Amino acid sequence: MDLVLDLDGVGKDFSAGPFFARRRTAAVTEVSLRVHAGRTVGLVGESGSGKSTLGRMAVGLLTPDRGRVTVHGQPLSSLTPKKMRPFRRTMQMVFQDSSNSLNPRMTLEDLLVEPFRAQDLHTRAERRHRAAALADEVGLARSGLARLPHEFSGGQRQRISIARALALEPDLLVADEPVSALDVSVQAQILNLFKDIQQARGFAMLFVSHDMAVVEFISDQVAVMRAGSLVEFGSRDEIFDSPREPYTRTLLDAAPSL
Amino acid sequence: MLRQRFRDLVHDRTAMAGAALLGLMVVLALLAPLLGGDPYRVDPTSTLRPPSASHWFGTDEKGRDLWTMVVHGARTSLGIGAVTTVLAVLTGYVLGVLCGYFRWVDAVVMRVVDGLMSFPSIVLVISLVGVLGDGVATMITGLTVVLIPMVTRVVRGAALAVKAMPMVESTTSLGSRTSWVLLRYVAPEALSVTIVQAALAFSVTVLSVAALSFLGIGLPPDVPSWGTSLSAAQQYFYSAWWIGVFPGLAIVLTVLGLVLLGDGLRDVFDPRSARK
Repeated sequence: MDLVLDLDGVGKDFSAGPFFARRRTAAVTEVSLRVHAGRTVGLVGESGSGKSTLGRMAVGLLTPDRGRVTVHGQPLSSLTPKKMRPFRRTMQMVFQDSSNSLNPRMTLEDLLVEPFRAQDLHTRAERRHRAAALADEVGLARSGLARLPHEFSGGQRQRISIARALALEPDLLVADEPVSALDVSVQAQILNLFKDIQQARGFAMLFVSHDMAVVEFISDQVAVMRAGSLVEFGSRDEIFDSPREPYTRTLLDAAPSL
Repeated sequence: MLRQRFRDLVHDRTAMAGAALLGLMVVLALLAPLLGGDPYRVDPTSTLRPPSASHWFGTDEKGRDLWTMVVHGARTSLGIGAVTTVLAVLTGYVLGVLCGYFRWVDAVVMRVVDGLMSFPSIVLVISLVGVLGDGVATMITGLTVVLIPMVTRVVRGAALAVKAMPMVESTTSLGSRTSWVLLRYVAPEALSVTIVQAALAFSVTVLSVAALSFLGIGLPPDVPSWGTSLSAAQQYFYSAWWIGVFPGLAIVLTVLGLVLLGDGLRDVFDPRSARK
């Protein structure tokens, strides 16, 4: 299997506090993690455990202070901003809150055309054609192409986010809590959509969530984070049936069983 | 989106009252040559005449028709106000968006802005007039320099807020160019606060023009202006109240109109800072 994402001892610090008493806190201390093509790694942990920070470093939205991020054999740190822009095609992100991660002034069509425009791909007509095809792929009606984001429901907006991320045919998809703002019934639809599209396209996925049930459903492997470090990593069945770490057990016990 | 907000604005009665007042003043200013006589005509035989059928607002100490002076004064005030506002708001908008987005531009421009803001604005204009000499162009330059920091600061704040929004992260992760992010994401989001600042800047200019010409600074003495008329009124207040009251009323109504309209604009475009 193809190794797509290789996080090697990655860490990130944030500084906070007043100027003269600035403190550096490690959001992520040192994490190593690998994701292969066609596979999904679920990244779980409580709020503030650094899982979103790790996800952002994986797609080059944040630069790590330590360690190395390699996507498809290309270390991200060696890319100049000029080379980074085209390379972003390979790695895409689906954001948590679709209500503020989509430009409220752009129609669905604009939003779906934007990835191609950003990367200077295709002719104008071809872009529109592909935008419509993307809408189909994620189950959005073509009749809504002229609508603005606020005219869609939360679940539909998340479909828009997914379509935008898929437009550039990435090899790596990082999904940052993509269903946590949705109703449970809608969550299931979106999770199935992720699964179906991954099966069809075969990208590697890092799926960040705090919801154990969601992670159990979507993941092949599970990584458990706590306070910026990885506490346990294993196949889904290992983690859910026989967790070795007491912290993982605590997380599992804390999840309400449906 | 802007269209919807303007629709909300039309339903705001206070704002519309302000717009009506301002509109009245604009009409007076535009039609001044038709409505009034020659503002330079001095008639020593009829000085300090009270309001009458031939002189609606009376005459001043040089025998000039005060109605003529008020409508031509509207030209001066609103003309300078409009040009200054447009210049200051455009410059401030561009600078503010750039400052909000680029940290190094921010570091440089904001220090200059801090410097300019640490001066009382009238003092700054007075010193500029001292260097550049009297004249309408000098007034406009001076007031523009005073207003740019105010607009820049507010727009910068809005731009900073947009930059931190997930939608900017989203377009960045697609690989969008900086110019695209600025034009399609940051600039439109910062537009609302800019519109509010424009109304505020306009009222500040009108007041400043009046204050400066009252002090006899900036405008040549023959340019008709409300402030100049007001300062003459000081001397004749007991014998000729009309010299002060009518230009004063014009200032009050114009600024009131602008403030009411500005409040309405702020409520509609910048609801977070609106009074409740």
